Amino acid sequence: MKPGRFVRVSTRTVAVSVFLLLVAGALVTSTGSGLAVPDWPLSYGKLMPPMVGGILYEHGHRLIAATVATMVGLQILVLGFGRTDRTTFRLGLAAFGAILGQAVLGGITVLFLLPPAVSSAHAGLAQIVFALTATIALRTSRTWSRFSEQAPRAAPDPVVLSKAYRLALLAAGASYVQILLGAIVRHTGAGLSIPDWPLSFGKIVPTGSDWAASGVLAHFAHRTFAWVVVALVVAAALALRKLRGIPAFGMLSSLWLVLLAAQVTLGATSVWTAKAVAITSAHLAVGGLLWITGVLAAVLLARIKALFTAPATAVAPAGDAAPAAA
Amino acid sequence: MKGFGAGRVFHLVSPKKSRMQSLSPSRAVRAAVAPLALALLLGACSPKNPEASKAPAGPPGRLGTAVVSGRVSLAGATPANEKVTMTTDPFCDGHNPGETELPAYVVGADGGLGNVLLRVTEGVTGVYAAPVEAKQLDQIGCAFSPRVLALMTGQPLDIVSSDATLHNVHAAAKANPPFNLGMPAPGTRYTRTFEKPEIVPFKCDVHPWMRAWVAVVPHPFFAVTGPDGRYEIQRLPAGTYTVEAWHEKLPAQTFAVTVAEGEAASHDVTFETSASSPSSASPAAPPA
Repeated sequence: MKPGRFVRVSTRTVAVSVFLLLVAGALVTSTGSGLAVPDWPLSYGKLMPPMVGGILYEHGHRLIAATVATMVGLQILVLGFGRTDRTTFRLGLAAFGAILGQAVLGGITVLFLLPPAVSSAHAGLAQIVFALTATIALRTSRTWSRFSEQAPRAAPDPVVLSKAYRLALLAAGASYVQILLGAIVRHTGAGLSIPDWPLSFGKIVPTGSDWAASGVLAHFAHRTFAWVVVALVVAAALALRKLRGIPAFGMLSSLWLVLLAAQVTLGATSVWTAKAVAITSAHLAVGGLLWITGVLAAVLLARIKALFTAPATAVAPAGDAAPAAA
Repeated sequence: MKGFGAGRVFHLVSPKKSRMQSLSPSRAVRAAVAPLALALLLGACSPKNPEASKAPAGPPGRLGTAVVSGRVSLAGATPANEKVTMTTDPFCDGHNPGETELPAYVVGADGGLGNVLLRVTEGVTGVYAAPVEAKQLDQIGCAFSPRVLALMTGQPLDIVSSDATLHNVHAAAKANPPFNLGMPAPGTRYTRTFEKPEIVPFKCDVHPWMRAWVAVVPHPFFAVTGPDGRYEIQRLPAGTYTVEAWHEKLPAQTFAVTVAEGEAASHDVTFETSASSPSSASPAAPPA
């Protein structure tokens, strides 16, 4: 049975809220407000301190996080009572566990004065929460049900399908690695360690003493790996276009390429504007969208692959319904 | 509310088994979470800020009667100080309406340069006991006062706030344990000591324009120039010394000076600037 409208709207709202939480987190680091509130879980010993200066960003992020975590928790109930399959329900549990872990990481990084390893893990786990909630939204969407109930107009070529799936997985994986590299750059303050773009210190590869400056290695790794992401996303997006008969992929492919172009532009502009707050925040946000597009493409392709290669076992059987206890 | 002061050591405990692992939603999720768990574990296992060691034992240092004094000046065009607006906090905006110039370059009418730290970096022997009198770092009108302060290792530093708004005092120390203190109301006071020499950058993350530098020196032979650029290092024993002149935005300079007991030596320091010096240049990296 397909999930009802309430479930579809709820899961989509949760995924969008998680994205807004990501943007709020990006603003905290972009404005240098990560330590504007020195204590945790309270803020200056209160639930609601005056929202002045950097407190607006840091405490605002905490308020949004508390709201979104509650929404992710309530989503479990929605999934449990909303006729969703067992896997989707488990993803809901995982998302809630991950966002609780995320809250703890956020607290630890404040109390330990933003150690780069913890802050980077906080940034990385945020994108996992986003991926989990976006996947839940996809699995409860009409698009997902349509794939379960109706075959595409023409069966996709299994070779083309497999290739697109592999490329989507690779592109999503590379996007995530790039997010982690970006988090390291952001949390070690290496955003301007290389002051020019597209060259690095006026060269293609920094030489000699260029490497001695703090953060150059992380920054150069981030901008170099970007080209790996570009190559994989372009390849995956083009592979999606070859899946004729499934219109959703044509749109997804175009969206993916637009996001990719925007992300490269934002990365360059971050350097050119000496890390303008709006630009670096947008760079993080679009990076998240780029990663999620890859995740959703891979999840959809896996679904289609399962439907066409082993329909007897891949299609959700009746026994895959959510547990009654939920 | 509780601040996290110098000397406190925390220990992270890595979770034995995460909730997500036990749920095992999918292989893909586990594969994505694994690097995160590793990053967290590495973070948890990385060395924490060690307890600052006590001042090394040794023969007591000697005080003399020699004096080194002089004037620090700025030659060339004075770089423009960065200007900010403080509209993000009505209290700060009320005290500093419109654009406010940040006092990185405090230059007198005759070119004297204020807020320059002069400290003896070579030639001092022996261990000097820290004074019991505390130095004070205040926050007045959404600015640290003084902007550059020097004290001895082990000497108390009183950190206070006179402002009726929230501040945090974030000491980004490297040799000493860093700390971040909330200053929620006027009259809030913390006392901290630093056991290792370094120049500690202080900032307020609520008001990102607020900056200060606290120099921790292992002996009493230091001074900070006033607005006229004048300094005086007193009570030096006879000897030859290397003195460093440090400014938050300019490359540090050193000079050698030899003094006899009772002698007053004079040495002026000139920092050269070019007209193209950017006002928002990164602060000079504080030397250890």
